[in-house]
Amino acid sequence: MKVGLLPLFIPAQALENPQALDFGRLSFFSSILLSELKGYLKEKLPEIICETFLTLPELLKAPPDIVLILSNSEQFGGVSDWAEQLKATLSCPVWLAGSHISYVPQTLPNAVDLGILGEIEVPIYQLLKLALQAGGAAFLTPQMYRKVPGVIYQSHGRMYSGSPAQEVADLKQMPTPDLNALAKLPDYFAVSIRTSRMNDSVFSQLAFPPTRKPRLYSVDYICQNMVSVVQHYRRSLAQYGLPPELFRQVCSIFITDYQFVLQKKRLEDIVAKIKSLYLHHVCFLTVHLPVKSVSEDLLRLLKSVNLQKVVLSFGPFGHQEPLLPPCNAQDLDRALALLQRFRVGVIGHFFVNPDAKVERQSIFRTYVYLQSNSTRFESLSCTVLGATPGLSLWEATASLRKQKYASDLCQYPWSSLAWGTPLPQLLLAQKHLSVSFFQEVYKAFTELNERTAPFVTPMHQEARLKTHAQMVKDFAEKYLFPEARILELVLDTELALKPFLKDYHEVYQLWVANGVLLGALPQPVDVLIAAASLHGLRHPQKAFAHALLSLKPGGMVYVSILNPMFIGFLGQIFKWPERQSIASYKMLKWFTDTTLSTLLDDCGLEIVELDYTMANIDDLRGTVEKLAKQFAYFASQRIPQHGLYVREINILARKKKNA
Amino acid sequence: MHEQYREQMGLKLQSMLTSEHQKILCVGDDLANISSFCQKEGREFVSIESLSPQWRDISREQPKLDLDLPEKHFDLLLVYHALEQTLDPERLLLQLRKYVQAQGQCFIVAFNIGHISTVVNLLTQGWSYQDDGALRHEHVRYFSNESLRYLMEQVGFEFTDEVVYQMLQEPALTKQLVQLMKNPYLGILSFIMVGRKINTFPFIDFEEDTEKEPPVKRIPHVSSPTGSI
Repeated sequence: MKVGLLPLFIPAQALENPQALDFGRLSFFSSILLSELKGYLKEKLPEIICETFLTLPELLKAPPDIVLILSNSEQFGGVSDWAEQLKATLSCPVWLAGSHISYVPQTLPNAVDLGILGEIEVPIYQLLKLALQAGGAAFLTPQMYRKVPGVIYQSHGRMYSGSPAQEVADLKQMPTPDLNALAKLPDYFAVSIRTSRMNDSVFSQLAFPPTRKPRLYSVDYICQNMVSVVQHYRRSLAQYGLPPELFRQVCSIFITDYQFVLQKKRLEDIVAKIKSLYLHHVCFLTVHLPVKSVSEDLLRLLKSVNLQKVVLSFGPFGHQEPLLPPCNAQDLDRALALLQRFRVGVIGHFFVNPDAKVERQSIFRTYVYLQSNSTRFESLSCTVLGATPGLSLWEATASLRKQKYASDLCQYPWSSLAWGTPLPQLLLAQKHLSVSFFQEVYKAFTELNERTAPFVTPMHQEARLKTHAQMVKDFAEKYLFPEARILELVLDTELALKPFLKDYHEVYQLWVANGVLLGALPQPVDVLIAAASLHGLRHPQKAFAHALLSLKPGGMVYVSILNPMFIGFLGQIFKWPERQSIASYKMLKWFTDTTLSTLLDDCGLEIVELDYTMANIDDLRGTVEKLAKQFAYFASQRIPQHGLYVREINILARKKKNA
Repeated sequence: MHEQYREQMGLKLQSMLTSEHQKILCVGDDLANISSFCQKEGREFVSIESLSPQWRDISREQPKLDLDLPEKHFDLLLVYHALEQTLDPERLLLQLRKYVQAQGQCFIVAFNIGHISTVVNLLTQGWSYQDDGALRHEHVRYFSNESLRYLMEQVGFEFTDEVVYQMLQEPALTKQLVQLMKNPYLGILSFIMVGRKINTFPFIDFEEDTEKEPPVKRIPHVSSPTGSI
């Protein structure tokens, strides 16, 4: 017997455009239902074949005996049409499961034979066993399945349901999810897993049917699950023959539930097990975290098993939805600073209106914060929530719904719950706010998303880190002596030397921010380093002279600057990008080797060494020579061509004894 | 050349003032001619420089300007080479827009970093700061036509028009580079961007009960340069 799995949680636009990278954040969560169910049935009923289908023509080519539709509320608008089409073309039984039908059983469409309320594995197993006993799904009658707990069905115009569904009592009995169920999903680039049966976030509440008894998966189960993800990637990517260092940056595991990090003892055990299995050498983690849980200890622990990205979901500061852990600007600020320090990419998701009482002011305040901090995210999406089953917003609109749709929810605009642009027919729980207001908010956030930092692939993240570590090592070998006391002026955290210098150096830092130097001068130091940091000072000479007060006479100074004459920078002059005209762009002042030398001289330093970091001359020679010719021909101007190949100017200087 | 520019720009801005502009809030360099014009005409002219010279250092940590001015009062916000001097141009304009009345206007004047004089400066001398122009000693921010328009949108002013100040230098080279770089603004020294205040999210003033504020009628976009000095 063949069961056709129809995951209706994939947004239509993703199916229309399979090249789209992100097929909807909620889908990442919902996909777990599919892989867990397939794994369960494969072990419990090996005689049953499960296949995933995304389109009707595909399904008609190899018709199954039963079609099981999995749907959340977001996509529920399409279920009825699908069921009718399936009935008309295949006349096979159509079953429906998932979060939506579990929360609102009365919406069971007429063309669906039965619905499954709550956790899906046990009722489906029981139904399929009955179907096998009956000699096929077509022979199943309501009389046969009416006693299966968790099943709802219609007969003679009436709806019937029995006792609540049975749940898998001991999650140790759960077989490993079958990831082949996901193979057909468009551009499925991160395998999602969960470590508990507990709807502890808005995402999981919307994606998964309700769980009566919250349970945790065991350490062994979770790690076995991770192993199977790695094996899945190995099989899927075998044809490309990726080297191990590349494979580890492609093999991605997304852990969706908060319990992964909230169960501290278990997390330590999981990390220990991951290490013993060397899983962190072959895959990387993306973890969904409550903002307030981000701490130095947690990040240190997770980084040790190759954490590369986190997903932070949050609402307006001061909201009251219990499924969205509260946080304020300080909490978010602290979390973002720590994540930046640990070089973890942040994927943000903002729920604009998680509770019925949310005010415009609190949405605005959160927006203002996010606007100032957008570059600290790699992406920042947002969702306007309509009155959606499973959320408190659904209860809050009960009277309004009754008024508008009476007891008949057939006309309810489920499709308007789409997380894209809020549609005019969206039913809102916020009586004091209009859909047009939320459309403005959505537009503003969409524009904000364009201001986030570009997504950095883990591969580049690691490569950048390694290159910088090597540069600091080379620098230390060349210029530093053991036990040297160092003062570092830092503009960009990622360029700081301190994290990479050995313990036998004593390193102090002063920070360049808002055009000035922040921090108190340390006791006299032997070396002062300003790597690409003078650019961030409004009055570089004044600030630098101040920093030099802490340098011992005869002490060494190392300064590097970016060369504005570099041909690569010239393109920016012709078309100065928007991002360079706003505050997040840290470069305020520019220097040449001459102006920098003068500045150092005026500060009482003598130059010991002047060095240039060159770009690849062969790559640029054509452009440089063409430009030089045009300047010579059309303007009788001579360009000092060598300067156009220089990326960085590095100067080593010494503080004069009498300075 | 910049003395002539300053003189002409002052006159151009004065010529752009209409009877609608009775109360003017100005930030940036001195505009003595506009100030005396307003005095003569009985119009109100307030310079931020005289109230709070700290406007240049507005930042995320110090987002407020201590200005004793009535909110939603001014008809025109005149930003005269101020953005180039401030650390956070966006925050400065967001702070000042609240003093502009609901359908008030803004004139934003800024140098074009992509003018041929900057390109020549860069390629022949590196980055040599000048007494005036885009590379003026005090400048810490630089703008192109695109980045100015983007900034206007980000601070809740809808772009309605622009006036460009053309200054031709090295005409043959400029013509070549315009074609080569596909940048039509190489001959443009500065821009006057004209915008009108919008009141949709997130540009809502919460100080008063704006929940009842009627939606503002949008003015159609004018995307092409409409004039030059």
